[in-house]
Amino acid sequence: MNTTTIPADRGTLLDQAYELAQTLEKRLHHAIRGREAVIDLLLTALLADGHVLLEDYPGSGKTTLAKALGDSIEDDQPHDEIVAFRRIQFTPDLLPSDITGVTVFDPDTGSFSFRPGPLFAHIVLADEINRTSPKVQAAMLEAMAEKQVTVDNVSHPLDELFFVVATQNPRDQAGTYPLPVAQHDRFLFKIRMDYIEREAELDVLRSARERKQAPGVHLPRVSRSAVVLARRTIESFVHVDERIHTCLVDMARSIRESPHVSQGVSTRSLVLMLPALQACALKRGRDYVTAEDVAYLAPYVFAHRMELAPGIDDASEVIRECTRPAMEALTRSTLR
Amino acid sequence: MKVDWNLVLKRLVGALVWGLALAVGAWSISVSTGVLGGFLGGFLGFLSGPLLAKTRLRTPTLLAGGALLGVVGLWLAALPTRSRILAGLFGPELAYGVADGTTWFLGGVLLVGCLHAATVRHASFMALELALVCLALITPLSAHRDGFISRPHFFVDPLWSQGWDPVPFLMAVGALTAATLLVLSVGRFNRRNTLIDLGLLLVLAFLVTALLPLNRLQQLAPEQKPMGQNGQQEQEGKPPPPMEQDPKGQDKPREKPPEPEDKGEQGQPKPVALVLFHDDFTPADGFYYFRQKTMSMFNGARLVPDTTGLADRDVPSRFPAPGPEAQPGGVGIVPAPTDSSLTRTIRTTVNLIVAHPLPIGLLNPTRMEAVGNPDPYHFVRAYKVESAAFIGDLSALMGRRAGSPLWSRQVWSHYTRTPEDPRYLRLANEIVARLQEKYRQDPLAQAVMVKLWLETEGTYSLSQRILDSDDAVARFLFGDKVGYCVHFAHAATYLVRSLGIPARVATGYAADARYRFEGSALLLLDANSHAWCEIYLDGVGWVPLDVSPQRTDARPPPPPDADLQRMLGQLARKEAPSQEGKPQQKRSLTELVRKALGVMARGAGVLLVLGVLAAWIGKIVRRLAPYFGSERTRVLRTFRAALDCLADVGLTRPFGDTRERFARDLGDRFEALSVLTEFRMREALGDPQHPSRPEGQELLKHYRDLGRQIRRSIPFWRRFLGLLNPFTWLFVR
Repeated sequence: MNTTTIPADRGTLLDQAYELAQTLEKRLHHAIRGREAVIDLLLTALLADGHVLLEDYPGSGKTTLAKALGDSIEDDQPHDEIVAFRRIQFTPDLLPSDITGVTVFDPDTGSFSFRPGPLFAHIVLADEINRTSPKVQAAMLEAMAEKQVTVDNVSHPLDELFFVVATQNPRDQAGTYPLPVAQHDRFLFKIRMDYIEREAELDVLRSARERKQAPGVHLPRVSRSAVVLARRTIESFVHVDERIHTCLVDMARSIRESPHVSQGVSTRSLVLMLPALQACALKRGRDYVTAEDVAYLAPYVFAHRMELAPGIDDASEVIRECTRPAMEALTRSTLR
Repeated sequence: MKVDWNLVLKRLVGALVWGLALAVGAWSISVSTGVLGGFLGGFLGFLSGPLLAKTRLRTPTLLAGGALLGVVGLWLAALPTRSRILAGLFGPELAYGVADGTTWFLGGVLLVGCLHAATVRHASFMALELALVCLALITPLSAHRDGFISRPHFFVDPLWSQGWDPVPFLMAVGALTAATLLVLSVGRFNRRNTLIDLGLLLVLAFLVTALLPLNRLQQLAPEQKPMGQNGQQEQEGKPPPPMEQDPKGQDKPREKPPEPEDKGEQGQPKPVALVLFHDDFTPADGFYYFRQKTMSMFNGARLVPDTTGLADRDVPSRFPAPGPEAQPGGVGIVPAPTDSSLTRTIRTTVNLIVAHPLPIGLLNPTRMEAVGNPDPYHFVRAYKVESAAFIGDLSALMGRRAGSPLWSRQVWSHYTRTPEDPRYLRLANEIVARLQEKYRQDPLAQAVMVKLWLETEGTYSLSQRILDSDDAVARFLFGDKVGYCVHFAHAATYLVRSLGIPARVATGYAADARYRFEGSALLLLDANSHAWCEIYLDGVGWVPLDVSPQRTDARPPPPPDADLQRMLGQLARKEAPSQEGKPQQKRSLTELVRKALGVMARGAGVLLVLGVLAAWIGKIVRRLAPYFGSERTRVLRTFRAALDCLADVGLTRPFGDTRERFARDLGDRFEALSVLTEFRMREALGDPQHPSRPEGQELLKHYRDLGRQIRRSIPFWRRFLGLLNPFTWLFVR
């Protein structure tokens, strides 16, 4: 499917991946104002081949964000049926086939053919994922984990890029089907979005017209295969030292042993965290992961995977406290 | 079912502690069955506590029920000895054993069970429980109170036979108990914590007992006061009152005669001094008199210590000073000239256990000399006394003249002045009239007659103690004649003085010579404090004329504890090493500790200096490291030196922060740090197969840049101080 060959030069590839991240970041910054942190995490997840759960209120710009991301990625295989961007609004009456696609009988050819659903896209915005029934959620989450959908016993692979941005509203919980912790585990990051700064909000208003007329057309886009290549580059060439592994495992263990946590983080979260750390390092122009990346990503990766003990509600504080010794050990090891 | 081993362990230990406590408590007052009963009772009681606590009984009901059951149970337990049939059945020994064992068992189960049940419900009962355990545990050890460091025998004797001073060990037991109690009451039941707590507390207690002089005998018995100490201390504090001419003067400061003996009042008499005899000497009348103070000046109302300086010059006015400058007369003794055929020089060493305002000495002291305190642990001071002791019988003194022909008229009148009460002379004459004609003019015979008369007529009683009125002696003598030694001493003095014989009242200690137990050490107790009359005979000096009434309602002072006397004697004989010249026989734990601490302190000092030096060297080496050494570790060394520079001015990475974060936080002032940090992180965490090492010169440039940036933003004094501090680099993490 992907025919791009990987050039041998490590440095060039890393530079290209870095450039790609920069390009995407610029476009998103242009489209969304005052969301630098979210954009950073979103791109990290994209480059790390993970999915993102945004927890926010309506009108915070999540559709704009996801759409801008979809727009930024040029579909260099226009002949296939996979589009750049799809948005699915989850409702209680949605059925799994509504998102995966259905097999229909074509009277012209006299045979059944598969009509892909909205999941067949590079970027999928799964809006208010907690509003739909667990059945649909399960289909969605299977697609996220396996990168394929199964309809009528036939598996249809999704795009290699397939990147889901799911959202849920933290306030309006009536009539929802909250995602269990096990399903939270499928998301690399859960990002809580707060209201943006005053200046940024002013900027949004000032630039609204301009952005509506020309949504970043003057900025360069990146191709889908370039993103996939960047992913591979990052995975192969950004170095994760053994000490980082040690630190991650120690962190996870101390979180599990903490009296403030009733269920600790999974081993899968640590495995998923590695590409995220690599992507994060690359986005900061490094070809190696440092403690800084670990400290930065740990709350986003761990917070939604833990169950806190009764009476404890600040997950990031718990994580900070639990991971401090391991972080300190890692940091100290660099002076020996 | 899962067994909570921690809980099981806790229960077992608690039960063992209670069992042991009751067994130990029973041991000192019961027979072996009682010990066994106590142990089982405590053990089972503790284990039953939680079960009782789980019942639905309310706590007051529980406690009241326990008490009620206890009464019934104890009555039942006593049956084997009370019921004739049972006692007959068992035989006396078995009956007693069974009764005692049952009593301890039932009492233990009920007491501990109810108490522990209450503790399980309300933690504050823990205090009561602990107090009872402690009480039971220390009962057998409590016999050493009141300065009896020779007891309990089972504890002290083995130590003493090894040459160990038992006091530190007694203290150690106390410290151990206190430490255990503290740990228990704090309740940090976690194996490691408890061990640490216990260790720390023990070390603390050990240091306290070893280094503070709190373990002298009087600290063991803090209440005691030697005879008359109160009054004498008052006098020491202020100059003696001026002589009051008006006998009826109402504003005259009250001078109390010596306090009476305290014997029989507060239980055990307490040791006050230990006298070592260097010459074998037993007085003819069987009593040693140790004089501390005299009262010879009649101030118009009563006898007070001399303030004129003319009389009583044989009584030392202060303690002998230590050291070579000590003169024989240095303590103010002007011994009376004596007939050497009648006296013998007796050398003694007095080791005061309780501080006295004035030295005591065997009659009649002629010379006092300070010696090194043989054991500052038990004695407050020690001095040698030479006494011209009168040997032989009083009859040998017959025919001696009273007073001294060398005395001036002033001295004569000083020693013979009496109250202006004609009754004294009349009574004295009546008494003397009973003498045979040939003895009637003999001063000694007269004095002895007075003594005999008082002994016959008077009644010794400690109930009669009123002495603060000016005519107390007259009321005693011409009244019911019921009084104690001070009364008798004064009465005898006044009567003898009326006859023209110089006399005075002396106070101090009188001890029965038998209580020396043929040894050379004599322990003086506070119960030995005494007052007596002394008369002056030419050629002999002051002779005690002690009135011992035939009728008495008080018991004589008890003998001192023979073991204690022997032990303290052994301690006192170990003289200061410089004077004895031979190696010390006794091993003193305290000295050992002191020595060890001294060595440790010196060692610590040396270590400190060495530590500072080493820190300096380390600092310099690390600071210069970027300029030397192999290329391989240059980045690390430069980065470390950079961090050292920042640590000098007090900038160190907070715990838990990453290096990048630290560099970023300082970024605006110390840009070079970020660069160096990145170099180091790339080297440390980067791909070892694709190393990218900066040039040495580039590295040094950034290092120097950092130095420049520090100089720019940190004031000179701060940098200077940081440079001097050798330890800053130790805080670099």
